[in-house]
Amino acid sequence: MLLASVALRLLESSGTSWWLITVPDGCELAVASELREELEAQVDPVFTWPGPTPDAPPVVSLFVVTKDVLGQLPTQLEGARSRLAEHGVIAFILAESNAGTFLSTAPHVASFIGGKVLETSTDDAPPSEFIERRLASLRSTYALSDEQARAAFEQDQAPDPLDFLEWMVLLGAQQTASSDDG
Amino acid sequence: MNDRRERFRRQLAQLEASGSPATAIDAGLYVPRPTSSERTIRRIELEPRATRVITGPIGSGKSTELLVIARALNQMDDLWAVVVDVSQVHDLAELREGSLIAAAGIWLLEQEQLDSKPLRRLREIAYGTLETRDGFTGKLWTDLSRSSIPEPSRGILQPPSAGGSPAWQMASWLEEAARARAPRAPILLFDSLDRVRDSAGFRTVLENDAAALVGHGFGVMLTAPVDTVWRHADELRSSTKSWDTLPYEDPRKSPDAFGFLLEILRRRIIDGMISDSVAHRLVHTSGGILRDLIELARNAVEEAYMSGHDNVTQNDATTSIWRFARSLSLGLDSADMATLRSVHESGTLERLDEATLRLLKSRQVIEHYAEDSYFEVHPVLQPTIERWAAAS
Repeated sequence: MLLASVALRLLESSGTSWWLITVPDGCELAVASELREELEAQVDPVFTWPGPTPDAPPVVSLFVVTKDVLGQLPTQLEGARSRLAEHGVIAFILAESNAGTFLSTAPHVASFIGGKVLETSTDDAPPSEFIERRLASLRSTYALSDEQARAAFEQDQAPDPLDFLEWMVLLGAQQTASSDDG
Repeated sequence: MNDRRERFRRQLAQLEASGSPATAIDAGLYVPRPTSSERTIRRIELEPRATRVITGPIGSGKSTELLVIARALNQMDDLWAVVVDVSQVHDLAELREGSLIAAAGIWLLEQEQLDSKPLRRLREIAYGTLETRDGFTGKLWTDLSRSSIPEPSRGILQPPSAGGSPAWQMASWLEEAARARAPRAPILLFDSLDRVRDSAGFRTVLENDAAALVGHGFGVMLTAPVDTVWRHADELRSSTKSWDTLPYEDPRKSPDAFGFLLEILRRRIIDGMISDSVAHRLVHTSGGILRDLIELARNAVEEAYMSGHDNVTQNDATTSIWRFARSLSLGLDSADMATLRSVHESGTLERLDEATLRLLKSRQVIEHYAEDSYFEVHPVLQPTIERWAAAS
C-alpha cells in the first residue's frame, strides 16, 4: 500500500485508533519519516517515537519498533495502555518479520489493534525484490495462485479489493521487469 | 462538511473499541451480560468488607463491568465505590507491598479531588523524592524511555512503624481519609491489574495490600492477571472471598450470548448503516469477544467508506474479516498451525504450555464455558486453518 493511502487511512480513523504498519526489514525509520511528512501536510502535531516530547497532545503518534526495542517496548506499552488510549491515532511501524513477536508479547495492545494492519513499502527497497516479497505475502495470505487471484479480481469477487488491485499491479510490474531483463 | 463523511464519522465514533467505558455507559451503549454482574453487586452489598477478584481473557469487558458495579454500589446509601486504574499512576512491572494502597491514595487525591493530610502523606510515601509530573504528555512519552521510567514505589519501603507492616500503616491513613469523605463503607475497585505479568507481584499486593485494606474497613475488588484465567488461580483463591471469571460468550451455541452481542452492536448502529444480516455475520465471526466484535464492525464501516458505499455491504464485512484474520495470523509458525488445527478439529486443548498460553492470550484460541469448558479457533482464522489442513 502506498504511504499516501496509509496516511489517508490514519487520518480518516476517528477518535482513539491503533494501527500496525508493516514494512520491509530495515526500512522502519525511512517509512516513519516519509509517513510523518505525508501526515504533517494535513495535521499537526505528529509525534514520532523515539523523538522529542511533544509540546501538545499529538494528533497522530508513530512508534518505530526496531529489533533492539522489541524486547522491552511491548511490555512498557502494555503497562501504559490506559494512558495511550487518551492520545488519538497511534501507529506502530515495524518489520513484518517482527510483527508476530510484537503482537504476542503485547496481547492487550494487539487486542486494540484488532484487524488494523497495513503493509507498505519504501522506495529504498529494490523493486524486483519488493515485488517478489509482496507477491509471496499475498499468495500466502489468501492461499491463492496468481491465476486464481486474477480470476477473482476480474469477477469482482476479491475479498480485499485494495490488496487484489495491488496484486494485479505487482504482476504487471513483474512482467515489465522480466521483459526489461530480456 | 461533506454529509457522507460526517455520517460515517458519527458511526465510527459509536464503534470505538478502545474508548472509555464510562463514555460508553453514559451514551447508553452498555448491555447487561447474560452472566450478570447483579450477583457480584448483591454479594458486595451483603458483605462489603472482603477481597474479591474478577478475571477474564483480554477484551471480555472487565473494565466496563467494574465501572457498572461501582456505579451500582454508589446508588446505595451505606456504600461508596471508586474505580482506581492502577496503571495510570504506577508502573505495573513494579508491584510491591503498598503499591495498591499508594495508588488508591494518589487516585483519591488527584482524580477524585479528595485533599487531606493523610492522602498527601501517602503521596509523599508513594513517590519518594519524585516531584509532580512534568505534564501528562511528558510523563507518558518519557515513560517509554528505559532510562527515565519513574520508580514511584521505591519510596514506599519505609522502615515499618511499631505495630504493623508498611501496608497496614498506609491503609490506616487511607481509612482516615475515607472516613472524612463519607460515613459509608468504602469499596475500592482496582482496574488494569489484568496487564500485570509478574504473578508474584500480584500475589504480594493481594496478600498484603488487599488484606490490610479489608482490615481497615474497605471492600476490595481487583482484576487479576490474564494468566490467572488458566494458571496460578488455585494458589491465589484462598486469599479471596470470591473469584469470578468473565468469559467470552459463545454466540454460535448460546442464543442468550448471540442476543447479548447483537444488542451491543445494534445500540451502536446509526441510520441503518449495518444491516441485520451483516450484523449477524459479524456477531458470529467475533467468537464472543466484545472488543473484536466492535473492531470488526468498525473496520467494515471504514471499508464501506473507502469503497464509496453508503452502507456496509457483505463485501465490506468480508474485507474486515479478512484483515482481522491476517492480523491474527501474524507470527504463527507451523507448530502453532498444527495446534490450531487440532483445536479446530477436536474442540479441546491437549496441553497448557507457554506456546498454547500465548495462543489463548492472543485470542487465536478461544475458551468458552457452558457446563464444561471447550475451545475453538477464533472464527476469523478457521478458514485459514481449514485451507492449511487441506494443503498439508
